[in-house]
Amino acid sequence: MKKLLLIAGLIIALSYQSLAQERTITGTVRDQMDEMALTGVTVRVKGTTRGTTTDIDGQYSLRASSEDVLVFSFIGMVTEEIPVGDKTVIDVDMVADVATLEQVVVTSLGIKREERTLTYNVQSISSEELISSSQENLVNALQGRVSGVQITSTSGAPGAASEIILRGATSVDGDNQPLFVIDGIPISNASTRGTTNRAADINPNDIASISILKGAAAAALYGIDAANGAVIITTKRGEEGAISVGLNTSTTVSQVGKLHDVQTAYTTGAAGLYNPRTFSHWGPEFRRSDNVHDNLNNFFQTGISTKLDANVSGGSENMTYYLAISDLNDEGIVPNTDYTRRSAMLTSTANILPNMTLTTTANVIKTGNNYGIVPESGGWMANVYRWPRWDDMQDVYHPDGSARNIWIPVSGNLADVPDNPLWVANHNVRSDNVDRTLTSANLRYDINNWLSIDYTAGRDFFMQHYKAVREWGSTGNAYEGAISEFNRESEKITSTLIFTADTKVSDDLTITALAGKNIQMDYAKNTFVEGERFRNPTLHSINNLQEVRTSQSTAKRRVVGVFGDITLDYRRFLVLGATGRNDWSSTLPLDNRSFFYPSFNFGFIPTEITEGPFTDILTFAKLRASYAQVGKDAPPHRLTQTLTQFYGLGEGWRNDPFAGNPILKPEITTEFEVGIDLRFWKGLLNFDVTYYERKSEDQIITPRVTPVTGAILQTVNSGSVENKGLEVLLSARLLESENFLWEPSINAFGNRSELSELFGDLVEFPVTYGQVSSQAIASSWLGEPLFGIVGTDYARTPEGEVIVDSEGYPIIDSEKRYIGNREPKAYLGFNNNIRYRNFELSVLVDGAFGAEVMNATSQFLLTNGSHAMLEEYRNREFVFDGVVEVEEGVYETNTQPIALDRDFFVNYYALAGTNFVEEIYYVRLRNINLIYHLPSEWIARVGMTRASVNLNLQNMHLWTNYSGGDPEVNNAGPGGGASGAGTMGVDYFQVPHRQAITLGINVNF
Amino acid sequence: MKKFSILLLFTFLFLGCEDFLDVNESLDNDERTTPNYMLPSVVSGMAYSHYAQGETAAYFTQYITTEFGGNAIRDRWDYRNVLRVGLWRRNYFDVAGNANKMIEFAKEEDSKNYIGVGKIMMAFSFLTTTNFFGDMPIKEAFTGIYNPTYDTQDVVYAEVETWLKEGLEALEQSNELTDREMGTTEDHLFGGDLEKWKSFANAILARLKLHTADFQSSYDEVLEYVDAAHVGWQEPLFAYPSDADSDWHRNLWGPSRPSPQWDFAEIRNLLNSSVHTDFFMNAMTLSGEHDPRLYQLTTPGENENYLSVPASQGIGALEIEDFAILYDGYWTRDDSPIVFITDEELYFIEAEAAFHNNDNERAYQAYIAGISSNFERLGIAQGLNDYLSSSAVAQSSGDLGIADIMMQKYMALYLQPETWTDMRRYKYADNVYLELQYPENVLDIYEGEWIQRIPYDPQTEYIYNPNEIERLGARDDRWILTPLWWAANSNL
Repeated sequence: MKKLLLIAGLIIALSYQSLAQERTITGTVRDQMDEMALTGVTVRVKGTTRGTTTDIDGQYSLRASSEDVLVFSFIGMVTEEIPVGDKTVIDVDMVADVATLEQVVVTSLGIKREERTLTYNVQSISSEELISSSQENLVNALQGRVSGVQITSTSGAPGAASEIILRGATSVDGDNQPLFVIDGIPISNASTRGTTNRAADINPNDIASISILKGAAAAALYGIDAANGAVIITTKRGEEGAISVGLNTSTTVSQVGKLHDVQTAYTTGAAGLYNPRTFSHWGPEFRRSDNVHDNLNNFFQTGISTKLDANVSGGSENMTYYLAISDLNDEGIVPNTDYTRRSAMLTSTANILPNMTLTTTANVIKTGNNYGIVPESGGWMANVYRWPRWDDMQDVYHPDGSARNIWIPVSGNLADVPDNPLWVANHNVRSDNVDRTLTSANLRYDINNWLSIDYTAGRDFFMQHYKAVREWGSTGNAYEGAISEFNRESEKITSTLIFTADTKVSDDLTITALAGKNIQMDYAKNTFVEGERFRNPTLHSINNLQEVRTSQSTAKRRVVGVFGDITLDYRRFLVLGATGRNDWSSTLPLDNRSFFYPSFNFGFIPTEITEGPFTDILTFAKLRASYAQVGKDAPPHRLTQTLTQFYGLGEGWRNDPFAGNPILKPEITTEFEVGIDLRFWKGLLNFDVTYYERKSEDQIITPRVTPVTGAILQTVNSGSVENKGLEVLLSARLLESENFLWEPSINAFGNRSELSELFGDLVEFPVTYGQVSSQAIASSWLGEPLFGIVGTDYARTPEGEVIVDSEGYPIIDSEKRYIGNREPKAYLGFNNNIRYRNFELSVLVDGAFGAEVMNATSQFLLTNGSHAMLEEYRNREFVFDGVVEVEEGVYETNTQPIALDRDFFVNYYALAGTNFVEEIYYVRLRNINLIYHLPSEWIARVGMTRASVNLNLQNMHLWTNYSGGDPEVNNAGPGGGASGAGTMGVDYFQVPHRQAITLGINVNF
Repeated sequence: MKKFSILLLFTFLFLGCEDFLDVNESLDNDERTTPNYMLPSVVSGMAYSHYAQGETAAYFTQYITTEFGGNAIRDRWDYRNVLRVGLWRRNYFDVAGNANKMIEFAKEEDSKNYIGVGKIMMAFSFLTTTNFFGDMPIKEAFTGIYNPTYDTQDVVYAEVETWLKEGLEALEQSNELTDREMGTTEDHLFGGDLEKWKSFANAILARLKLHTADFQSSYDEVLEYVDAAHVGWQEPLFAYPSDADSDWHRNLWGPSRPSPQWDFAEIRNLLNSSVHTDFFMNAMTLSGEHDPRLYQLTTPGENENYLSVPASQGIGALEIEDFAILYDGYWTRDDSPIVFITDEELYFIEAEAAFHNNDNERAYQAYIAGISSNFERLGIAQGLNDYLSSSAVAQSSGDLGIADIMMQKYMALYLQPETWTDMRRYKYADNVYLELQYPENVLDIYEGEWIQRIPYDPQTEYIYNPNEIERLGARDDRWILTPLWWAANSNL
């Protein structure tokens, strides 16, 4: 159907061409300042979408008629409009726009807006910045570059899921991640059972730009799914002109980053006695003659990844195309882990009528991921850390190829033997394969020079196949083998129709108005199969299982929305706007299904109406404010309690753990935002600051309820979360000369959250996943920040001194309390772009400050006797710093010495959760990218238009006060974690982040 | 072009009929079914629950203790850092919650048989659960109230009694022609034989009345219910298949340590690292000779010795090879049955009630019948006469003491949760439970007092119903030392 339309469009377009009285116009565009040719200037026939860009010599050519007006626009330059009249050559000298404010920004629904008129904070990332990150997961590529964004990756494994949260989390247990939109089509960023976040399927090289809409104001028009903001992605397009071929190839070498330290002095055993059948490291000291192995470091390998991108683009004035193919093979630092991604994208734009454009895109993606990371709760590295040093972990097999057991247990039961992690890496493989197709069509019709219609329809469809095999011989109940498998079919269909009117009512007033309707249809079906015990030991099929359980879950959701947006621009100094949207969602009960939410915004630009000497210094100033609401619906199928399969004898049905709630209503988030945008000395120094306050009320949350109700969980409207924060952006252009330019920019961000209301009598809302310790858990506490840690502490006097018992041991107060905030107090990103002759250098340093990390890895290592501090402290005599209660309320300083033995560490120290909560900072040299552009005279000889080589260094250094490994942790990730307060800041045996070096070559013909 | 715009405009204004949004019903699971499809989960759930109760109580009642000592709950009674106490949800969600739903479906179609069976199962689940926790919501259970009031235990007992009587009444009214069929597929206990259900209900009533008979002077009533139970009596025995192909189909006491529901940590048995206590071994040893039942309840260890240790102390320097293997005994195979109320228990209820009613003759007969049926169960009837004539057994009704009855009941109810109720009724008295010793390694803060109950589920009640927890004082670390209603009132 789409093809037919395209062909029909082409025929119509071609027939029109001969009718118009057009001729070819040529010309050169230069910079007025230095008379240098400007490359990439957009030249467009006003009121149409026909256009071209200037080539490397600043030249262009396009067809236009005498009545047409040509519009020349270029970032950083004042847009020029020149009537064609009888001219055939039009040369233009463009003037630098002092405040670089004509910059166009992509906002809601793919609408491009002049940045000047924006009344809320939108930040854009260019294709160059994305590529210079050298990150294949586009979420990671944003790290450190945008303020107001928290990104945490679950691990350094290939295809590891990353979590992104804008301006703090609003939901106590719903998904807090923003909506991802590609070319107007919302796509799935789901992560199921610890598999990668699906936005990572998108090849960063296909992206022309990303706009981050952080607040409710910016996202109001996207409706409920954008309640947490939106990441708007625009893919690359072809350009009119000769065929252009681009090739890009790179190779990356990576190694393991920062690990936790472990003690190397003591061997396995208990009470100082050697035991060769345990991982517990409370044995005697190693003797000098003992043969020891550095299993931890030996476990990792050097990862190598290669990527090839190729694109072909070009077109005539009536049709342009862009075709890109890409192949990525990423081999991890953990043996037998890899991630592959192959994609092909074709975009074509056809002017099917002089005022009608059809753009169609198809992106076909195939990814494969082999990984050994335990889903949802992590912890896979635990056995690597505690593997006895007297055993060589590398020695996985017997000479005959069978697996070597580290010991034979007393019981003789081989199912009790722990698996060698290197055996696990090769024989307990989890694989995740996705076939995905993103298709979209956009029809734009300019009815006249002020009214246009835009219709977009698109579909995001993927089939995911996940399979985890535990081969015969695995430890525990998988001794005879086990398989866990699921197939997921996910479809999102979007249809959006928008009318836009853009009219200059008078010289003083411009009105932009927009009205639209949107239909969203989501469908996801998961089929799970799992089971144990293979009949034939080597056949890894569910047909071969003796015990099989199956289930399926289907989620269906439909949302219809109508919306409007009006912006008044008065004499360029006053901008007033309002939006409104009404949604009807299938997930809410009939009576509460429809809900409306508005937004209002305001911009004031005093520099447009004042003249004076100070405008030489302060070239531009804008004050902006907005107030917005956005609604949110419920997860599908939560209104009634259903029955679920019963697997026991006799089978049949049983109650589902989810209680129904037939009176759910929408959740509403309200946000207020003010900002100032100042540009000094014609853009040499720019300063932008935004303050926001945000409150989510009547949250749709699914707390556990007391089973006395007959259910375990129930979706209810309850609870409020408040966030407020500051985003600062400072950028400059320094030492600018013909051959040199230094553009430093700093972005800073801090968010404060509070859980201000909660369901029923609840004072605490624990996070479902990543509960790896019973002394300290990720949990939200009423009246405290959302990203809380709740746990135990030592018993303390009112003055805060630790109370010690008469034998000198600290007393544990087992009552759990709020003991830490995992959200960093401040994020800082410092980015530098330096251009010198043919070299370009970008250096990105970023950091986070004041976050409390819950170091469950440390607790585990300690109780296991493997913690590094035991080298120094174990068996030392020690007087605990505390007081002894001599009589009720009377305390004396403790003087009783105790021995720091296993009993102390396990039964006292490890029971105080506060001992594993650390306030940390880190500063990371995240990225250095050096590009060398080969001189054009060289490459022209071999027929190239551009050629460059680049060297990219990632995660080269980490400065931190953290006692563990890398403090940037997220134990469960978005699979389980991004729901609610998630597991950001929970450290539990994840694969550390990688350090990597990339060498790339980029050529264009 | 104009037509085209009109078309677009039309699409825009058209909002779609409401049907378009009516897609919120689950496509995979129904909200309703017929009661026959609910009964298996109710009965299986109770078998599961019975195991979990036994696993919890077996360490408190000193049948077994852990190999290493120092286990938080089992040896130290330390519930301070426990994430979950699953017995709570086993009652409300797994057994009674489903039974309640089943009764609802049965009432709609007026299937009296399912109504009666549902009430009996619900009553049994609540009765066994309240004996672990004490006060618990019963009147506000399943009402949707998210912070239900906890009823005192006497109210729970009264309500359970009412349910049992209602259950019996419904079974009386059952009409085979109009009721939905109940056969072996649905009813894993009795294959739909309602007479057997009635005797089970009477046995539950006998057990319930026994707990309070001492201070409510109701031993006559206990004996009446015992008599009623004996009419058409068949053990409520939940059989597991010998060729199970799933953890759901295995007895949780078995050596494969099944864990069909991954989310409950305490569910896996620890028999692989547990051993017998001195208390149990003393009872099973007579002048150096082992009670023949010992060999049926366990598997010989490598050295075929039957060592034991004091509760909570671990085996220390002893070799594990000198202890019996606890698996593959009568109750501890993958296909062992779960019996909700055993033949033996019914006899010992009779013996105890008759004894306190000063009917020693009847007490003695029931006592001997209890021992005999235990030997029969274990397939060693040929050794019975030797045993009965030994000094381990009271030789006449005149010799019979309460310790004889309770110690024989203790042995016959190996690993059964009801033993804990018995011990607490007798206040852990060492003249009833001969030579019972206080475990050395329990927390000092208990100051030598015995455990009387377990705390509510910390993952739900302490978080979601904090005001009731506060009112009861259940946050106190010593809460578990507070005797239950029947123990506090018992003069035994």
